[in-house]
Amino acid sequence: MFETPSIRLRGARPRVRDSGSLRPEEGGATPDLGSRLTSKARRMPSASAPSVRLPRPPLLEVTEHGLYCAAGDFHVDPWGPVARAVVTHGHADHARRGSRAYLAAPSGLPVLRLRLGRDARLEALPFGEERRLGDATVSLHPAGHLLGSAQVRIEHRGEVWVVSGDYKTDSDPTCEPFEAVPCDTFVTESTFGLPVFRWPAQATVLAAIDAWWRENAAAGRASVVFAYALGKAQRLLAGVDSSIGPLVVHGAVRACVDAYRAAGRALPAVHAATTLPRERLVRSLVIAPPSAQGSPWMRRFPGASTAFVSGWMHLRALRRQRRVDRGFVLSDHVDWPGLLGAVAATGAARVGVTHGYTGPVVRWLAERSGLDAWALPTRFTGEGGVEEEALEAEAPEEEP
Amino acid sequence: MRRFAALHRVLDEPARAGEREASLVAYFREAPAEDAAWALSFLTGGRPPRAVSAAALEQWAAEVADLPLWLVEASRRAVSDRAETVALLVAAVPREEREWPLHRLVVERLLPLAAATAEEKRSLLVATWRELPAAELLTFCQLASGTFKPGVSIGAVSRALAEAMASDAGAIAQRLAEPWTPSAAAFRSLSAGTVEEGAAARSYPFHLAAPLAGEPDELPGGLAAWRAEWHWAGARAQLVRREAGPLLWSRAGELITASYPAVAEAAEALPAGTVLDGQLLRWDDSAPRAEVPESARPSISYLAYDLLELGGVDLRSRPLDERRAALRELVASLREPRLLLSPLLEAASWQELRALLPEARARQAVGLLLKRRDSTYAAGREEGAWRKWSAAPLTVEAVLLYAQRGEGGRGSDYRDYTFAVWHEGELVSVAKASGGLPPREIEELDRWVRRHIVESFGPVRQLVPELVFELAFDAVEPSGRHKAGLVLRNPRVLRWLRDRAPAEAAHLAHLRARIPGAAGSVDGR
Repeated sequence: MFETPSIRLRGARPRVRDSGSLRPEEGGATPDLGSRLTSKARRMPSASAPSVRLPRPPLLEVTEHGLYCAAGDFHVDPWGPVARAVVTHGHADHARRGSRAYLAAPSGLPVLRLRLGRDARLEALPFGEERRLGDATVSLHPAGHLLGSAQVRIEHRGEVWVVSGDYKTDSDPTCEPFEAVPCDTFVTESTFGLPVFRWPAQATVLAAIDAWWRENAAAGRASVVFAYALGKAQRLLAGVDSSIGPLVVHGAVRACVDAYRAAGRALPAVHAATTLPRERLVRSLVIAPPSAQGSPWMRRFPGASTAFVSGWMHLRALRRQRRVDRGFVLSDHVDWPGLLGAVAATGAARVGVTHGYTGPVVRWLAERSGLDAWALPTRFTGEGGVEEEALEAEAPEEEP
Repeated sequence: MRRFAALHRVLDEPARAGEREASLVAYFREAPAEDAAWALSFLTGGRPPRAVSAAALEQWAAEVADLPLWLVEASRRAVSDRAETVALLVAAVPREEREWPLHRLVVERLLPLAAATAEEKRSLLVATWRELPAAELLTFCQLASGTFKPGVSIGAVSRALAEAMASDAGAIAQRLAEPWTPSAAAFRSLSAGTVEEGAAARSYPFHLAAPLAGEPDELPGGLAAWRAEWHWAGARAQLVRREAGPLLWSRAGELITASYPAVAEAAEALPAGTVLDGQLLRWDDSAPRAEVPESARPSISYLAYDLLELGGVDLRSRPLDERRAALRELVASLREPRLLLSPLLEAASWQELRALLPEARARQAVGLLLKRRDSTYAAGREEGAWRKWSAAPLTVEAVLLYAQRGEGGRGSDYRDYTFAVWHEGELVSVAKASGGLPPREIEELDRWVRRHIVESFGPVRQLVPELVFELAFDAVEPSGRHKAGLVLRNPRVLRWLRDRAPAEAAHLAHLRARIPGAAGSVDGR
């Protein structure tokens, strides 16, 4: 019934399989991570496995700080301070401050620096390159969610797990495309894991945004778009027709644009609201975080038309609740067919489902695909959109 | 259908000021008359009979989309609307889209649906789902399942149509109040109302009462200069009887005649050239009314308290006493049980009147109205001529059960609340209210809400039932549409009762006892 989206399938397994001596790419000296065992990690059952091979402990477990790999003694996207964090991307519900060391994809580092602070110890692991952590071999693979967003592949004694983080299979010129990684166990997000979520063609949505902007510009009113400052905002900047008028960004968006540029991504020129004369402001497309809606910052754009850009705009109740003139459906998460296609492409027999509509996705995968599926608890429950947005508010908002 | 679905989306969802009106006008200018006729009918409340039950719609959508029913149900919980869930699910079905003119869709698909057998319904629906472009599915599913809501008032539709056709909105509204069958010819004739015709339909601007600040003793002229009557809790309306049939206009400028057929019929007895001001009330002695089926309930009467026009002569500049005397004479001559005179309250002192206030609730009034005997019927809220003397509000202690983000401010605070009381060991919602608390408490409550969400239904969050609030309200009315069987009129949050446990909140019986019918007294709506 559902067409399977095209997904780039990784032809080969990661390049290096045997090396336990992979050198860090940057950051120089990396101390022996094995010595950084927390008291919690010591309680982990890795050493207690007797010679009887049968019930192996799962490679990843949910602990009080989130997903933990005992074999490698690291957490994936921990929600509390830990010794070693492997971070999928810079959204506030995935990258939390306070851990002692972070490992992430190189193109995501400038954003992580912004989110985690000047003093955080960040280390880059290029996509596809293997790194030995404890007894586990770890590599990162593009998740297509935003620039530098990664899936985490973990291999231990021949068993392979992949943690998707947030991901999308749609194309996005501002980030590396999603890559399906073959694995035994796939941990997938499920933010939009219901069959009512099927994204309209991206080109159609962008054309609709352009048309709305053009109409507003012609009528002499600014077009204010509320979108998550990290990821969605940059995708919009790259996707709209910048010949219609100037592009204006809120300070929170500006910071992320700079981080993208620092990582080598070209984006169109953007302006601050304060630097444009009024006659140009009224022809502009303004991109601001959702928290700017109704804030004094908006007084700069009297009579503006407003829009919200998010996968949630697929639902009428949420469009009405947003109280904006337009709701455009553009998501950085997979929709239902995208999710099912991605799961199938990994070839995984076991699927852990997290972040979203876990119950329906687990049941569907078990009943329809005959997979061994289960739900993983998430700290940030409820609808990802709402939480993401609440956390977004923690990011700097005022213009510098 | 493409144009109508696009129009409906603008009307149904928030839009920039002026965009709704502009879209309506553009639609009526551009749409072919045979399509516009059906659009006009749907937008003014003439929805087609419910052809398919929502459950059947869901069942067939599950089959067509090859999804198990449990997954459709899980989807519906996220979407919080059945017709929309179905529209989103069937959009995934491979389709051969075609352009369906609205009138053909109605005549060939929607109307036959109602008369069809279950099997025919299924095949008609499935065929339509496969042919309609995805953007039109929601409007179609709403029309087919009888859940279509216009999202716009009849007045606004009339004004837009008048602008598009360069005709008169009042005349259009009046013609729309009569039964009509959608067709190109009917649409042309409806939209061609003249200014003269419109003038004959028009009501006068309402005279409004200002709240009584302080004590009545301070009112100029003393008691002798004032008239007192009950301030009824019903819906205020002007009853216009000119050459054409009687019309009822609400204070919001809407023509509401069709909702009160019995009153309209009784008003035929008025001489042409009469305009009354008064209140629509349900007089009813059979109690408790929550148990009386809707059809068996006595219908509504019109309680007149002012006469604005008689014999085609505008009386508004005459003093109240003179208008009132003429009104009494007029009503008495009619002997119509549905056209009554709002009685004056005789009192020798302000003190006597004050003593009446506690009775107001039982009489389905919210307090007293004081009107200066020499006052004219001026437009708006002329300072001092009419005063509202409100009775103390009723109160109830209720549990916070749901929250939704509110308007304004930073736009993301939870400030729309739904409250519930106990009934047979369960909490049933009885009132919705927004804000009402000091800003600091609203913020505190917002933070609490975020941490105590049990479940989400669209934008609505179900909460852990832990907090108790005191609500004020003006009256309790029976309602067949609410699960509790009643609804609170004008509820507002008075205070957060931090020391109350949820178990100490009120019971439904406490509210039922406050339905005026239950007390065996005058009742209204």
